[in-house]
Amino acid sequence: MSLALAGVVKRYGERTALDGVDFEVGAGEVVALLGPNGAGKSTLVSIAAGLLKADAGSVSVRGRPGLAPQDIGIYPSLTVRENLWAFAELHGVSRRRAERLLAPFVLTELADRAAGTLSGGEQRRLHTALAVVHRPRLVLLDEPTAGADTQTRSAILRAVLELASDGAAVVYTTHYLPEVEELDAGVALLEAGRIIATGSVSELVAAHAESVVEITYTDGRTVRRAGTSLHGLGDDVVRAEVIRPSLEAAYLALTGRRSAE
Amino acid sequence: MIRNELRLLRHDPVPAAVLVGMPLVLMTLLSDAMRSTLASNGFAGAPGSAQTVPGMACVFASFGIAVVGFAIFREHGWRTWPRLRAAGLSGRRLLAGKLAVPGLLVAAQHVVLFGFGVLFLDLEVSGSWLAVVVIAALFALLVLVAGLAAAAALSTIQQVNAVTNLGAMALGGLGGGFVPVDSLPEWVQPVAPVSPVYWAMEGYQTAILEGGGVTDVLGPLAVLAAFTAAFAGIALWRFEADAPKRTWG
Repeated sequence: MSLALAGVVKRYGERTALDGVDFEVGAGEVVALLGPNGAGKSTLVSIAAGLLKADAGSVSVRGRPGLAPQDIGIYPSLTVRENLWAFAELHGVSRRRAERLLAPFVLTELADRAAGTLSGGEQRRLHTALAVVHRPRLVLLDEPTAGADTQTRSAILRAVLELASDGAAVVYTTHYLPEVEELDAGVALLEAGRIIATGSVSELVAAHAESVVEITYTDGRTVRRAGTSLHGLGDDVVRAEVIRPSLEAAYLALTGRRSAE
Repeated sequence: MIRNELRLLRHDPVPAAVLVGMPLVLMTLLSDAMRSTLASNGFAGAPGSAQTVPGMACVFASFGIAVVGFAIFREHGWRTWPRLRAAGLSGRRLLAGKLAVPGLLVAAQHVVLFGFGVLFLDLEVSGSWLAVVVIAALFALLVLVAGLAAAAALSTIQQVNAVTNLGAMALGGLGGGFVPVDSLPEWVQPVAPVSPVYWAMEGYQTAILEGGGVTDVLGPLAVLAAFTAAFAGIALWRFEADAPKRTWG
């Protein structure tokens, strides 16, 4: 296994962020770590990256992981190329090898621009590229497409698939479930510090998803009911959405919440 | 790490240039006035640069505390700190990397200021140049370690700005960096020794004006070493690699 966590517990004072988490990712696998805000996703990623120590349990990581934290972390005064060099040097990798990441992350035309002058999406692509400069065997991407434009999202998803096909294990946290379906990733669903479901997208959909109608009323109430029928909706309904069997529906069934909440 | 710090400096050299250029201007403006001040303190005939060169070197080297502090805090502001740590650099190696370029800056500052003093402001060292170099080297080390202590103990960039910059000015003035301590108000003179600059200036005065050698400045050197050890203790005690630092974000 490229990453293996067993019985991992992490507490912040009185609050338990991770409560006996078992989690494994093998070479060539992409595992999407899902869960509401505060479920413990970033804590798990930080522990896997070696930034935090678990209070209990064991953590086994193959090699030095590549980390793209949730917040964009780049040197704004340096050019794109120099940012890649900086992290290549830290990992003892040649500059030329680092520059090979320019093309897959659609950064070639921007190579000599100061990173601070890039758009948010361009910065996000550079931020993600910096995580994989040293071709890590384990890649940890914490919400890599948050706020990203379409080009950035597709570049990052393509890069994730390439990394996995090269044999890297990828842990990918996100709130955008269609991305998980596009990656055909394995899924681990984290809720209040515990993994409550694991499996492939199709397994989770088959086991947990059913069609649901989500109805929002004028007074702000939201009600969900099984099925696809929109009959019998009163005048006080402002919005009704049919959620077909999908990862989103499975997520809703398991957590009682939409993925974006 | 050091290569990247140099790269960052190359992209924004203005603060470093100011830290070397500004004291040159002040030395040039103040040296004539300091001649009479030194004369009234018993050093008749000594050039004013005997006060202004070491004084400005101490005051402006003290801004190195801020340089070190900002070098660490900006990594938090740019959100690159966790990435550096995830790259396998231990907290202490990270800090050591952060000291190298400020160390070079303070060394360059001293070379330029003393060189300028000798070439253009009639600075003469009546005693040992080696003593001057040893004092400068120890003071530079003190400044770097104090910068680490500030970065470790302070939690916001506003604190770093206020404590290090205002602290450098206050301790520089109190310690005799601008004018000799003997020329300060009488009520200030007894508290001057709380400033490391006071002890550096004591050593410089011994070497530059009184013909002293290394053995003659061992007292001030010991006090500077004690200050350095105290700052190192604070840095070791308070430094936590994952401590949150609030910057401009």
